Amino acid sequence: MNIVMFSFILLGFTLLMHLVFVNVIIGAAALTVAMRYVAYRRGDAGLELLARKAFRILVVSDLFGGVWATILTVLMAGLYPSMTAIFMHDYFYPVAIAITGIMVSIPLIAVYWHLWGRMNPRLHSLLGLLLLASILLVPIGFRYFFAGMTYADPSSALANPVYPPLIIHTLIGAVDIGAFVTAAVLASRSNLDVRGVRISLGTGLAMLPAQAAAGGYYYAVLVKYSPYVAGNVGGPLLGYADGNPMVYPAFYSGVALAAVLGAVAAYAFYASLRGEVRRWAVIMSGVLSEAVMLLMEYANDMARYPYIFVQGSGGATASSLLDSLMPIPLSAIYIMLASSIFFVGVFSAAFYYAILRRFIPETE
Amino acid sequence: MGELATNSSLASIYLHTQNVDAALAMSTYGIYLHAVFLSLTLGIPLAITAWLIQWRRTGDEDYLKYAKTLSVVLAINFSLGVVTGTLVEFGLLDIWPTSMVLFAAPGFLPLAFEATIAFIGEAALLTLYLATLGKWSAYRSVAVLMADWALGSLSGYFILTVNAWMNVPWGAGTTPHALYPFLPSYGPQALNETGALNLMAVLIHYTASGSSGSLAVTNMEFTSMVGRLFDDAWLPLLNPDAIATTLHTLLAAYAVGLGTVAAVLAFKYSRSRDSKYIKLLRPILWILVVVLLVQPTLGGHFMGDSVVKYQPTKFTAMVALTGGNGVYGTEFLDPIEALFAYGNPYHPIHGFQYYIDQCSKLGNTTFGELYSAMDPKMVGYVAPVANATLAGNCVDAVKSIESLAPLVSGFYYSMIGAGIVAGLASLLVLFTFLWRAPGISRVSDAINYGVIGRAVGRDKVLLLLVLAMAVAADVASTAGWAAREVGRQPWTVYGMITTNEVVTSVVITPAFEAIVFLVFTAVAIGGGVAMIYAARRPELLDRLRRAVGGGK
Repeated sequence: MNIVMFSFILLGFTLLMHLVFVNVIIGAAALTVAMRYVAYRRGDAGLELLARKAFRILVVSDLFGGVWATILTVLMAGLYPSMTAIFMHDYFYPVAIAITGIMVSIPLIAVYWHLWGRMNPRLHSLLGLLLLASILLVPIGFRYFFAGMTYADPSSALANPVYPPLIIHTLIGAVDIGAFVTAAVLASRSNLDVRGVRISLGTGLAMLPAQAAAGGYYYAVLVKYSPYVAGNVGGPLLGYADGNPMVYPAFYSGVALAAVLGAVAAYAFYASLRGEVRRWAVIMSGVLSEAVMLLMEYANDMARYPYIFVQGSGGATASSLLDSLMPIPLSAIYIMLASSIFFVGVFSAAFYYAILRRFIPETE
Repeated sequence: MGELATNSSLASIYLHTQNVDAALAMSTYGIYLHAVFLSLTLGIPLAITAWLIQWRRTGDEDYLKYAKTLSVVLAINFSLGVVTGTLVEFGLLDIWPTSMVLFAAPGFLPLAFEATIAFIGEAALLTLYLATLGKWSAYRSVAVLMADWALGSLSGYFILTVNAWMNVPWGAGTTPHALYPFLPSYGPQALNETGALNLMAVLIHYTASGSSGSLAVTNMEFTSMVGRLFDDAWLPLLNPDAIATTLHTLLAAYAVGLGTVAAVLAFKYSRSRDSKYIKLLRPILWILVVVLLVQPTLGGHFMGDSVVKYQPTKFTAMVALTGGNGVYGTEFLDPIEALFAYGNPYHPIHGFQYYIDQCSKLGNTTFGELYSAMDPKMVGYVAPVANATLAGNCVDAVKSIESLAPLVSGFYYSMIGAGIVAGLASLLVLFTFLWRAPGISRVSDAINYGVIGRAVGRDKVLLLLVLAMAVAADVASTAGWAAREVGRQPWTVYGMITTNEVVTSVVITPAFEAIVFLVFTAVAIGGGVAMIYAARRPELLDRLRRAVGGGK
């Protein structure tokens, strides 16, 4: 593998790790806020408890989402300085909006948790809306980068036609993943919450058609404005014989896994309607939802290769934008990867103890 | 920034634009808040560790109870550090885009290691520590917390390494000396001279043509235009200034963090007269006293040596308030500073005129001539300053820092004064309240009870001393950092890249600036309130764990 491809994949890997967490954060936040409000309106204590559980998943995901964001930022600026500079110049205000979202959301998470049950539920629900809005500001700002790379038209940086379908696709997908992961976490506990599993799975299933429609809309816009990306993603089955063989199989696999996800989740949901939890099916739904996201995001980003900014059938190549100011020692890259993997293991262990309560007795 | 001496064509490079002033104000505020939270993150684990060890040794549950309380404060504070750190990092990229060159060259390894070793490890171990405190044995918790603290300190080392490179560009070799003859050589020549000339040309081109040097980095061909800039990725990690800065700054951070905890306990004791607070305060005071005695002496010594050796204009600016008018002449005597700097009170210190005189060694060579001879393909880029002489550029750089000298010196002597207060207070605490040394403790008692006690009341002596240690540590840290950063002007990278060449080309409006200040202030106030809230509720950790792990 050459250094251009290696750097591209390294950055992509970091992005995917980041997205594993942030989709859960966004989805869990949307679920929490919605369920908390409905629970208040209906006086439904069970639903409120489920909202609290979804919120816990948000809390523990947030820290590591932030850590991977830092790694991503450093690698982005270090490996592709001009790309990052272009982002900062063309998307100065979207970046500022996203940063504001990060800044505001973290304290709001603490405030929202602390005031739960200590203030008027209507006001608390309103606070939840602010929390959700602050969390949504982050993808709303940063997704401009991706639209700008897919359809590089500096004259319309903030009016990029690829942006609307991309952000819709992103947000619906995140809610979907948040719902399935919440269901999976609930199913992994010893005291099963059948209603919680049912609501989470039901939400995830209900969002799947919307997500498919958003995906279709996004693809249609790609065909119009970024045929190079659309061709690499669509491959021979969608009429692009010269599609990139490193990309379209991932897209096909993603579509196939999404179908499997729908079937497995429907089976698990049906069981939950009968008061049963098919633990393997629910957990698999959570895992599959993340897997589909990883494959689709990979296909979306890898489809630009060898370009970073795609313009028509060409663009600015990764090799021209790759840092050539200093040779980066391979040994240093290995150290970074080894350390990241080790500490992901440590975090997973701590997460496991904290969430699955090897050390904390279940009290609810 | 003050008046320039020579070429008006260089004004765009040295005279701060409105954008630079606005960006500096935002960055200063953000970095200061981040530093406050980081200092607490680095100091608090030392206090918790002392209490956990005491809990293990004595079985006294008060120690565990307060270790848990402070652990929640630590968690909140860590989150605030992450929030402000994210803003500072993105602020660096968004407001100062040319810093991308640092990310991509000398700063790459320190920043990448910080993210993938130190920060990720710190987050993982803090999670593990909070999940297991009180469930695992005291020593196991201490081991996890100390590993977390070590990674936090390592994170500080990596970040400070990048800052140190901006102050002392280790590996730049003789390149800065070639442009500013009064500057020394900066280690081995890892900086590629052609690459450095290329970089300087494109930055000058965009800065002098009325926009901003940072626009150069947005050019798709930027990295290929500059070519190889730096050859040894590992070298910045071995920068002698990085080691001195890390020692000095981390010790200051520990002092600020520990000082805050100690001041709160002393205050609580003075209000309640509950001996529990003295019991909790005692182990912390031991660590704080040692840190406050080592930081200004050993840490300050190495830091001062580095400034004298590698940043001559900054050193002259620092001593402006005691050097008299001689500071603006060729050389002057300042016995105390000379004694510390050179070990000889009669050693003359260079004034700004000396540096200006040194600039004349560059003769009448112009930028146009320099590039025609050494880097012809970039001649077009330096067209806006082609007729400016290198000597004129050198003089303008000196004039830029000269006008800031009183400010830098004010910060410097504030740091020294605060450091002396902190050191004296530490000695008085040590010999009266912590350790009885024959003779010395009698003198210390006489000062504490005979002088201070008479003025404020005998029972308030400890409170006053601890407050003095905490406040003086804060003042010294803030003033010292300000002297370091302002003293780096007119450069962002000392002797190489000016501040005007780094700032964003996007106009920073007053409204944008106001929003940034508002958000920062809101986070600071909200965070402060949250920490005070947590500090008053010992049961919060158990509640938090139930909430995360299950149960209401």
